[in-house]
Amino acid sequence: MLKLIGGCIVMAGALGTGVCICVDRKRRIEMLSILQRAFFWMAGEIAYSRISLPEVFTETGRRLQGGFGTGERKTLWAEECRKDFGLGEILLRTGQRLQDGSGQDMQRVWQEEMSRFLPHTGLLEQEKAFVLSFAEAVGFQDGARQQEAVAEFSYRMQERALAAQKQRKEADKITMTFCMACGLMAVILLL
Amino acid sequence: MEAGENVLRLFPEQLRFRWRQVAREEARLQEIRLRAQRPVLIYAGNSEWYLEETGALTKDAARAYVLEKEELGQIVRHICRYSLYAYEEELRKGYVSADGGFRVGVAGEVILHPDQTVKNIRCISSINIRIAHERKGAAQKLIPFLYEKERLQSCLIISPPGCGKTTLLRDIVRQVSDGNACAPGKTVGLVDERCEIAGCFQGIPGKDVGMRTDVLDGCPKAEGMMMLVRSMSPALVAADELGSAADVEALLQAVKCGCSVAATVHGTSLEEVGGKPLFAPLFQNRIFGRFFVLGKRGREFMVEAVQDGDGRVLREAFLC
Repeated sequence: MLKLIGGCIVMAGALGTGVCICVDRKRRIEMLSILQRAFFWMAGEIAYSRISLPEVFTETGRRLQGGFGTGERKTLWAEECRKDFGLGEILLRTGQRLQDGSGQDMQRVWQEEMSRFLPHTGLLEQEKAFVLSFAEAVGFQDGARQQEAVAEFSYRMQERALAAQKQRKEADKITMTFCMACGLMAVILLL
Repeated sequence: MEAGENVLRLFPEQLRFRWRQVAREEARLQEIRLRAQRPVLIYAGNSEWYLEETGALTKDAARAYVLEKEELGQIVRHICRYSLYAYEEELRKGYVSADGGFRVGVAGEVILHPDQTVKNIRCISSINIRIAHERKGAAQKLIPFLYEKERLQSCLIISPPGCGKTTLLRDIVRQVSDGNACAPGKTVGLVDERCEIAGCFQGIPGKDVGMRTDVLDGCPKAEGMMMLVRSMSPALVAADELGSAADVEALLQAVKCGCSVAATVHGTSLEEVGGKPLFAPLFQNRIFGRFFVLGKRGREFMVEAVQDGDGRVLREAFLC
């Protein structure tokens, strides 16, 4: 009886591990989509309203949090954006730090805020490095070029998200099969 | 806010140690001139000073701090809030409006359109930070001249650069808007093309321009004046530094719509300004009821003359 219970626990552990890996993968895809949307909105703000980057961050942060204008009112849009994983707050804080008169350098502020945020996103290291490099992509005097530079981040995130989405079903299947097989092997060995 | 905080905010955090003493001089500070690979020059209290590396002011050129190109770049990026694209239009005109209502003139390598008009300025090598001063009451002695039987007169402030015309216009706007000893408050429409008069930040005036003042921030004067006349029904329309035929035309339209106008123009006398063909329509149509001519005598800024619409001198040479 005890052996049976032990075997079940090992199998449950293997299943849990597989599920966790799949959830992380899903989370990464969602995160990439949110970043894609955020950069897309930023590029839009630059193209349309020509506001400065600190204001762009603030506006985008508000939108990600589902607020239109005030950042307080929750809208239907909020439902769709409810999984912003805190990116809205991070962008709001970045905008605030750049506008509070303390004179902090944008590159430093972006690095600090994103370094706080990225570890919990499930993104791959090269994706994190790419997001961190955003502050180096600013400084264009021409509005159209600046918009393109920011939109590039959006396209790259989209590309990554689509590729990950394509592979996800297959990868999830392999992960679950592998985890279950490992669990089964452990049960056989232990018995 | 600590004294000089506004000036200090013009500089990035890592460079502020050098600018603290200069910022403390805000009250008498006029200009900060920064040029790549050249000594930093400070104009304060009508004198020229060099900045030492420690941040102290000196008259000794040998001790002057020479500004590195990279440092100038950092300051420009900071003033433009790391968003040079957002200042594309202003840079094309040779200036940037900084937070706090300061105007920063820029010079460098000009990029031209194929038709030889200026597209932008790159490799900025010099900047001139003009320190805006809010002097409440600066127009106190001029207010009685602004009214004739409680009727607000259109006025033109004529002044050479740096003699306080923007400061004076701001105070006129404030006093007309809030009301004064001569008349109750009236609605004022202010077109602040260079963001110098109201010092707006995200649309909210940082300087006191009165409780009945509507500000169009960063808007071209000609277009802005017509927008205000059409939509905000101002009793007074104010604009700084007339300089184009479109500005003159918009001013004429505003007066035709029943508004009074207050404007400034570069010049040294009524005769000089009146002789410029650009401004001829304003004089032919007798738009202005008052002219305030500003000037400088020694170290003092003065009102050289107050003249009526016919050019008669109502009062001469007095300190504001």
